[in-house]
Amino acid sequence: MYEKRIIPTLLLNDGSLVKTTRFKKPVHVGDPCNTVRIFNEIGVDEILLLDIGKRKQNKMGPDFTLLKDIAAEAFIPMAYGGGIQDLNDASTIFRIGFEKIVLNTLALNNPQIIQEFSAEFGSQAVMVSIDYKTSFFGHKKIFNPYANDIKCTLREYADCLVEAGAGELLITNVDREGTWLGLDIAEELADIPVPVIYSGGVKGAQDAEMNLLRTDVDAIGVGNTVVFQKRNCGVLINFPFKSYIHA
Amino acid sequence: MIAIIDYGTGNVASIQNMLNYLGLDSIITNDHTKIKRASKIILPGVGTFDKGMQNLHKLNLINILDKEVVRYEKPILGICLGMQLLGHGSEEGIEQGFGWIDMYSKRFSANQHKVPHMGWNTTYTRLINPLIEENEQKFYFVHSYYAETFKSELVFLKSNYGIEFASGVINRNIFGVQFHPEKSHKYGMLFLSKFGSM
Amino acid sequence: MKNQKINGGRICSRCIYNSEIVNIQFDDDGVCNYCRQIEELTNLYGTGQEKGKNQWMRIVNKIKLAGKGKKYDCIVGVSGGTDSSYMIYLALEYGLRPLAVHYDDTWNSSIASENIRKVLEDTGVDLFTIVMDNKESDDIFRAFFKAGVPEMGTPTDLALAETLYRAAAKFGLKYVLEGHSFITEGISPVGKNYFDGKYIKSIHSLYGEKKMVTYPLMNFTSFMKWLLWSRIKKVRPYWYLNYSKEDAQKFLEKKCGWRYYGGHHLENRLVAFSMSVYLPQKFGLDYRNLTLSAKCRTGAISQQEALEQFNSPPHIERGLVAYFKKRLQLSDEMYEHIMQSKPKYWYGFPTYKKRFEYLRPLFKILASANLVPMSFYLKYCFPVEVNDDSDN
Repeated sequence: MYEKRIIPTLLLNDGSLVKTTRFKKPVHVGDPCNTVRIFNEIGVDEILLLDIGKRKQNKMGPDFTLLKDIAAEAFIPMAYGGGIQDLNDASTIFRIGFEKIVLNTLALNNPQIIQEFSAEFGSQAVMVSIDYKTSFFGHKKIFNPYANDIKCTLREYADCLVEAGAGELLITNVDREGTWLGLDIAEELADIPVPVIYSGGVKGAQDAEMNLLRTDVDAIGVGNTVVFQKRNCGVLINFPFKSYIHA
Repeated sequence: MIAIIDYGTGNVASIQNMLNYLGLDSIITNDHTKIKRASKIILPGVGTFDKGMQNLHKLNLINILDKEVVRYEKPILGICLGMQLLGHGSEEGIEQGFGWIDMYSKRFSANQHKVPHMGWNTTYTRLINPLIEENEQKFYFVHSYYAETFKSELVFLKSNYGIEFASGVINRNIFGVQFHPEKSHKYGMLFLSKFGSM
Repeated sequence: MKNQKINGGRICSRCIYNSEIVNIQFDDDGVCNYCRQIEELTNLYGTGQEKGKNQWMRIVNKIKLAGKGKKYDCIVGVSGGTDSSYMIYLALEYGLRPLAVHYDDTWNSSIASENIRKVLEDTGVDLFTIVMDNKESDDIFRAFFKAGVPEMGTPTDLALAETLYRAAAKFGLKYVLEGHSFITEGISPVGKNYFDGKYIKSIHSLYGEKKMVTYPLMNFTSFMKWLLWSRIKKVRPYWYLNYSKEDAQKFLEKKCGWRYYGGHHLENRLVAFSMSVYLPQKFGLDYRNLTLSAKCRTGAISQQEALEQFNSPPHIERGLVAYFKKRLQLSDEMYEHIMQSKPKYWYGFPTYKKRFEYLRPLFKILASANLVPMSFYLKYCFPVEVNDDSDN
């Protein structure tokens, strides 16, 4: 039977794993190799690794040496995003052991570039990440301070990406990220024809599992829940989802 | 020694990583001599059908693989795109595949489920085979195309994603699996260790 | 000097310490002084008897009183191991309101962190953690490895001790419960193995490359501050109460799905490497004799079984050495070179040892007041005779 997924979303910054709140104030949570090793031992569905330091480091590509070390710890699928500039970067990422690449800034600056990536690697290997904020009146606005401003709605942008060949979308509510306030499921994306991973604000294991029962949710990205023991408590690399492990 | 074919596409490092963990010797190569010396072959694959075949042509691997697999009956395992290349072709492109297994790859229709098929899914064993003992197993899938064949004797594993499709195909020494054993944790380890010790 | 594995030297009639152990003596019954020391401590603390229970109840009441009106009343250090996991349940059984505290050196195995999760989820206890910057952590371990001294696992031990004090101070608590049991673990003889804050700082300044920023270093000043100013007491319930590791493990497995990790402290990968590879291969040291001797003394296993286990090679997790080299970025050549080179020992580096010996009378008082464990006083405040065959 096909199973929905719960995906630990790990943030890399200068060789260490961190966790942010609303994309700010990163706190150190651990070592990337050891953490992936732990999740691999537990047998989680898959892992999403995003290098958030790359946004600030202009024109700097992924740290391939470190990524190779990290990928070697996983006998489960891994996706990587952060600083991917071109097809060569992507090709190297696949070669060293990742199943999927995640694009954000590159896609925002030129959504048509997704076509090149999916033509080369297949759409199933290309995930696009969209971060958004919600205004006081409830309007969703795509958020990325390092990319050109984009005028269209979340749905319009998503459609554009799917048409260009994106195989999967990662949708993150910036205002909820790291806050434990609960997931925000963007209902306008309900009938998008590719798998959609929602992330940002999961309250805990129960909240994630409840949300996964919804028909319009294919997968959930979890951050706080897997790196902290619980809200307002200490760092603990853990995976409190009994039904989503393969060990 | 297992030769993991390096033709510019595919997660070669992960396959070798798991084989290392299992204590199975392997080499990532597209060198003819090394392929000839290997006792088994793995054909990985991530990407599009045409790109895959074109790369194999560019690297002069078509004839050597044909010889090793068909004439010398060396065991070969195609993974994901690698499995699809074992057939005649794919809706995804215009290139011809190896044609060692009578099958053709088609795109999942978007009617019932989202495409690509992405995640863990169950395989059901349909034929007795040397690679899987259990009736049901779980593996990780990530693909938009599946292999269609009308010969049931070629299908040793079936899975369900809106439709029933062949997740494992077999023709004597030739095996193909749609899922990624190298990323399917303990299930994948069991599978690859069986292939390695065959 | 190496521990002899086969019946080369004289072996205690009760445990498996042999004549190679530093400062060992055998009495007329062939029982070693370490066994006798444990007997004395058992009498002193009334372990498992009415006397011990009463002492413990007095401490429990003090803890409750001191913690009135606060969110928690005591600290319990947790590692995912047997002793600390069981301690959480014990604290709750006596009506205490513990805060679990963990020091994460970024080398935990999944068993360790999942065990912590399971125990705390089952009991509802909160967790406070200090997590080291992974690059800094690896730099410290690399420094110890390059120095060629045996105490590679001790930066974590000392950092945990400091973390417990810091957590206690942060939440205004006066009591830390520690899972040490001289019965199940024995007293480790001082010999070639030693640690304190100055020693760690010395090794790091000689062989480290990164600045020490997130590492919770316990230097002498902070040690004294915790003892004399904050007056945080470390209590070891297993010194007073009946405690069997085997029973504790069965209880934990049943209660919350806790899992055993195969050996003392093997839930942390760096420690596992140190105990199973580094110490045996480079120094001929195998500290399994501590826990195996303890098991002998309690009758959990026979002396014969203990010797058999001790004489068989330690279990090494698949890929452990490769992981160690990868984390510390050591080439195969560098790794081999260090493993083959002559060992160095603590007495060749600046430490606080002499200072502790000089302050023996003070520490005697502190031990009686439960501000330092008696085992600390016995181990640190007396001079040790060492045969210096090292490379220092």
